[in-house]
Amino acid sequence: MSSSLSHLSRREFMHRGSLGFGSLALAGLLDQEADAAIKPHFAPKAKHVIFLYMDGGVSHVDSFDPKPLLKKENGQKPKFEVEATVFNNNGNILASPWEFKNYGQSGIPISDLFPHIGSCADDLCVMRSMTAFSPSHPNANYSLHSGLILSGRPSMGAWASYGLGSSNADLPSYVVIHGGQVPSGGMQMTGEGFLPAAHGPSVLHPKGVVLQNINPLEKKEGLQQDKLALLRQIDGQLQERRPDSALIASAVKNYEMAYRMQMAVPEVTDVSKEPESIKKLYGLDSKFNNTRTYGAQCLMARRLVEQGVRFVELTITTGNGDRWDQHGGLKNGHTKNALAVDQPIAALIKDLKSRGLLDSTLLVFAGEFGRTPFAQGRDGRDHNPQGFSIWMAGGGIKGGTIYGATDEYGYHAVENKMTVHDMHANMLHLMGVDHEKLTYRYGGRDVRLTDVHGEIIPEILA
Amino acid sequence: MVSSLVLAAQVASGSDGFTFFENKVRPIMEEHCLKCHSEAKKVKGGLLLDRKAGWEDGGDSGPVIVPGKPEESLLIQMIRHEADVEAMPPKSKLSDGEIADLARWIKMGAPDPRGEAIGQKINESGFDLEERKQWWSLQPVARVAVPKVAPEVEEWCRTDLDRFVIAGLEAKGWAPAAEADEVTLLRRASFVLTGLAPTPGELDEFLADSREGAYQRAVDRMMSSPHFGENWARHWMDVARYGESKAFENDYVMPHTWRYRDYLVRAFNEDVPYDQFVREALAGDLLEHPRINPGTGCNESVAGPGFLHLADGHHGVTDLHEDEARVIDSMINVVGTAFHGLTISCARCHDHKFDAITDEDYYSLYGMFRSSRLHYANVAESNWSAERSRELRSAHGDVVKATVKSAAAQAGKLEEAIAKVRKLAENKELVEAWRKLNPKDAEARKKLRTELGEMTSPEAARWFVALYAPGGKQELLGMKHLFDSANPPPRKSESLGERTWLADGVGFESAESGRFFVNPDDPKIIQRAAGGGMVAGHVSARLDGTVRSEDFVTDGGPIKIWVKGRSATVSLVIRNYELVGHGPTTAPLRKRVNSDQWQLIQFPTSLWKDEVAFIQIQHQGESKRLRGAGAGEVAISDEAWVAVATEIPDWGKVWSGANSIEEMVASLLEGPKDGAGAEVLGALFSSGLLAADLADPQLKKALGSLKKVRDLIEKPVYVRSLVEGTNMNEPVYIRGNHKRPSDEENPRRFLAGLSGEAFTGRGSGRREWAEQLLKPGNPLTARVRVNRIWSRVFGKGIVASVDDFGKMGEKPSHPELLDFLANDFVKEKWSIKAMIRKMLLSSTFRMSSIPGAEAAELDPGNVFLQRMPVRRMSAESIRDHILAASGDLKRDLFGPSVPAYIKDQPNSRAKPREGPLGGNGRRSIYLASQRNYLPSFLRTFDAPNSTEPVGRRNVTNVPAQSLALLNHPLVHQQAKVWGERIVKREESDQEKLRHLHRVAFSREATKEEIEWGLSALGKLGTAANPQEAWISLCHIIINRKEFIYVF
Repeated sequence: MSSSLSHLSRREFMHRGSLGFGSLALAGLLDQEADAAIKPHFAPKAKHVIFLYMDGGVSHVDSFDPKPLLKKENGQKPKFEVEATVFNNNGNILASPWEFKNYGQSGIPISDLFPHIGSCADDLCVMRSMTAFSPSHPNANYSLHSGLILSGRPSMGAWASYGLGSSNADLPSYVVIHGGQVPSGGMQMTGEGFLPAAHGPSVLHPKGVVLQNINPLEKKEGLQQDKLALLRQIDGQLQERRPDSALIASAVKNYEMAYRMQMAVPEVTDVSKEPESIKKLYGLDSKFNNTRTYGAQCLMARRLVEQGVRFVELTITTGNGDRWDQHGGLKNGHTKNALAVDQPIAALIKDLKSRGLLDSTLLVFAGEFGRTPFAQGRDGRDHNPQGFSIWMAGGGIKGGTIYGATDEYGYHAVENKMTVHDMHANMLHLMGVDHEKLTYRYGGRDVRLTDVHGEIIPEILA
Repeated sequence: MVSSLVLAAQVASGSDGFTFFENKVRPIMEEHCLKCHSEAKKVKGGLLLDRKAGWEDGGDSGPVIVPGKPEESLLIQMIRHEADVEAMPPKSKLSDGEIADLARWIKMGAPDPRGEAIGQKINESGFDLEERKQWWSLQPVARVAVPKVAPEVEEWCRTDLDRFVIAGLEAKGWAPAAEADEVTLLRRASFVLTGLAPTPGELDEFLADSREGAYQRAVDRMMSSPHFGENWARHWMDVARYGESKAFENDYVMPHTWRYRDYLVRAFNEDVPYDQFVREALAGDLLEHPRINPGTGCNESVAGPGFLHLADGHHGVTDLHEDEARVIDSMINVVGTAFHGLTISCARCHDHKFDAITDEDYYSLYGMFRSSRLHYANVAESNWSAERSRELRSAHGDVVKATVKSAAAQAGKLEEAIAKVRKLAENKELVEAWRKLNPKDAEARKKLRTELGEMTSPEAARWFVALYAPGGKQELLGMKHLFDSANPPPRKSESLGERTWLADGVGFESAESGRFFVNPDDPKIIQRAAGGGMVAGHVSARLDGTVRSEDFVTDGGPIKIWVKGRSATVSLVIRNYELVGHGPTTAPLRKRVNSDQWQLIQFPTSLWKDEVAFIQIQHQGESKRLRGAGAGEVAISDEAWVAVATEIPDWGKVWSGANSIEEMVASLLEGPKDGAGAEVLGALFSSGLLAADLADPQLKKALGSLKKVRDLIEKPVYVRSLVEGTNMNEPVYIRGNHKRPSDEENPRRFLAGLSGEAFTGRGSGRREWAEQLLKPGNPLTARVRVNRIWSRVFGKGIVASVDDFGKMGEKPSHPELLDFLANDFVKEKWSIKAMIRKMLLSSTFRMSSIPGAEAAELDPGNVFLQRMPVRRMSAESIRDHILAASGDLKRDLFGPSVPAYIKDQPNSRAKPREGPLGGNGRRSIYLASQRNYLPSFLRTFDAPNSTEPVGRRNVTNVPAQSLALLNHPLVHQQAKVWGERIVKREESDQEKLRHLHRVAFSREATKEEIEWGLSALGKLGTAANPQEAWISLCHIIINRKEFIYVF
């Protein structure tokens, strides 16, 4: 943290910052688009959500949805009708290069890709009948985030912020911790779309500058404070001249919040002071750089959730392997991607649990689609939107369960088929929000995250 | 459209059976069955229960109802959950009473009034167009009288619009706010008009003007400033969802898009009447008399439709029809929003839920856009008169004739060389060595050539090379049999069948009788020839054109076409897919053409069987293609040309009838008889076998005239526009599903709720649509436009939801005023400037932003306009004002976009070239609008995401904005520049502070501000380092609220 903050305590600042401001109550949102600022529709199970976005599409038949038939028919021409794929380079049935084990009391089968997550099996609800609206990355990514295959729509995190607001005045309500891999379709898929900018994500980085514009650039100690003090003085003159303007009052007030964020954000995201045991748990000592990065992201997520941040999304790391999108080299690529996230995610579950936070924190692990049971080329898999697996854990989720099923090849969801709308509906439901009532007037419609769809699934709820 | 409700009511009255159905059966079905068995929702098991024809047809397991026999009806067995049949509904069971009612109904013979056929849309929403048409915004614009106001307030009124406003206030008993002081007013007007603060010079000039009407003169000056157009263009860019790239995975850049921005800037500066603007927006490519830029002679109008195809572009699409539906939806949305103020795109899946818009309306527009094609138009072409065209073509013809004639004497001199070639051809070893030559091995080629020359003569060597070298001239190969009987004349080319072609631009001409490519600067003169199909670039690479086939339906087999040329592209465009060639599956559908030899292009269509497609051949295609983020625009090539044919010339025929080469060449030199002859003659010249005699006086003269005319041709200047394609009606997609088109024809016509008038012309209907928009009876067009203007001037629309005049929008606060303005707008010939000027000169605009006590309490949203609002500047104005204050602002207009500063954004494969922090001092409107990498500073202050039309931006007030002004490197950089400039001014600190305030706030500093400034400088350490202190002070000034707020 910048040393320039040292000679003015936060309390002092707030006190001085409030002087002469007239009625801050006026600083409401008179001239602005008012927030929905609603209370939950009913008591929430989950106060926070951590969305573990598995960019590129994890192969479900190699992770959470074992298909013995693939081994049997390995190398054979698919006996089913093949849907249009993005690359149209469809090969023969490809057996999974990984073995599956049954984990925990629930005995949920999970492949050797995820031994750490396997150790948390009894906390997971694996949904094997998820489907996506498109076989192309950006479309599927947009809809995974916003329910529609279009760009420029509000993401689930922005909806959560819009619907529930923030519970910590010093921190944003919706945070994306960016691992470095920009998803196909751009970072704007995590954006607020047409919702007010206040509900957009604060994009935090686990390395370097943690948040855009969060660090003062003044080199001289105390200079920023001096500037702020002078600014308050002169803005105070304006406020005296124009006590009528709520806009001005709230703009002035924003500087207090900004200043507090300058301190709070670096502090809450600083994982260096965590005990060694915790760092080790999350894999911060790993030999693999991406595990260290993702471990830091998961640890930051826990710290943010502890401080009341409403919605945290993690994008994956970059630099060693190209997301989960293994059109070729499945074994190598998926191994590296899993190595990066497996230990940190398991650590997050365990850490939250030991702090009693897992019950109030919903974890969602999902990619934009799964991968085909047949090969692309020799050793890859193409996109499979017709059926794949996601899982949820924590806040209100029935652990140790499996919901839905794909066919014997893992190609199509055949039992309890679900869509992103269902996923969103249940996430909101757990946060105490009725997805049919959370609306925003746009383009002549009362728009919902779940469009006109979405079903609550009693089987997955604790 | 038949309303089932109406029909049901009619028959029920005469039939107990129908009454029973309506009272008992319909409710049961709606509650328990239709969710899974209706056209509107799902059709499980192939069974429809939403109409009589549905259950008559039955489902996958056959008929489910046997009228009169409930026990035999599968439906009854299923709802009873009997063994061996599937239980329905699957997760619940009907009550015994309900089951009994259904059984009784079947016993009665299953009387069912629902007469819709399979595939026919059911009007389940009870949509009643006549009722919907009663909505206020669809009523004719009323001729309203200006309200009479009391004499004591009459003198407050400067314009008629003030009388409407004051009448509203009088009704409340509120007095209007006092007049704002003149400097506040000047600053307000300046930001509204130009988006910039008045410069200190402008401020001084204004303050020095003590004559009556100083404000009016200032307004007129600002309205004639070129920055006016920039500011108002930006407003329209929001509405047009202007962006320069395709977002999605690779964020491809659309070339030449920025010229649409420049088109808007000019249009607003020149006050193009709005009716003309609308015509250009929808049909600028179709106007008989396009608007010509007096300065450049370029066609302005054709750029008008440039915004329509600005939707995102998805690559790797597996269903191109679905993608077309997405792109056209974006066009319908932008047209509906921008011009109608209606949410027409809400009628994509069903009739509009609230407004007078049917889904036939939606698919009528769909058909209109579907019948139009994206086109890169050359606006410089308007400088190219028919007369000059004739002149050029005739000069070109003269050069060809003179060149050929000058070579005539050579025919008789061929004998010796040809005899030598015959001899060489017998040398199998030599022939083999040449055949095996690697065409890229220049060294080996040179060696062989030298050997040849030594063996024979240079002429003979040239002939031999033309015939035996790899990549030898295809036109000449036919003469090989005259040397060597082992080489029979080549077979005639395969004919690819008939197609109808549509050519746009002046470039393309028929080449059936042969066209010669001439370069007057090259000693060969004739470079090559085309003798079939169509050709462009032969007279000059700068004469642009595109040729497209009519639409056809693919059959799954390859689509073939012959092409040759340079810097051209040929593609198979399926469902108007703009990204053809990008992404794995469509990559083979787009080819660059870079060969002098005819090539047979084959486009595979097995993945897109039964789709509508057309073939597109673009001259200069390389500079018209989407490019990767960060790649520069591809320059226009002076070597570009292209020929396209469904059948190529039969050169063999030219040679096969000849007794000797000498005889044949002599005959060709007298004039080729057909396209094939022309190609052979062209090849003889290009291989150097025949040479022009540059000393020939006739040729010299002809070359002189050709060069003179040629140099008058301007390089093409491209804009994105449209052209007419094949006219198609689009069926209604049931539930918006493109895979479920309605059976009925859906002819293109105007909105049913407005006139419903059919399009009778031959084109797509875009011209008709524009004319319907502008018809005097159209209640929306003028209202929507003046309301947009009002909202920009007064901060809020009379209809606050400027993009939505429908039921989900807001109602007008001053309906009479809106109509008054709409009438006035049309009366003033749709002049936007005249309308803005009226508003700016009104007493209403001149009010202070300090509210009266009662109005502040009772009307916090200022609906009644008791005062002017305090407003935060737009994102662009904030950035521009910072640059202007520091002195870094460049006031140049137009040009390619400056790459934005994106260092603060994550890396990805779509990340474009990094731009300079200060954007080269250019106004924000000129920063690259790369959708995946929009400038974060502007986005923080609510610049739109450039994907959806936005007539009214969010104006948020969030800490991220404070952080940006405190810590963004741009702000620090500009504070530094500003401070350094200030400190160099040779004046006292007081004077410097006065200057600072004039620049930042367009007013004199108060005494308190000077005191504050001096003490601040002291605190910031002037004595030790005056420059640093001033830089810090400038940073504080930028952070003062007054810097970014307008009062």
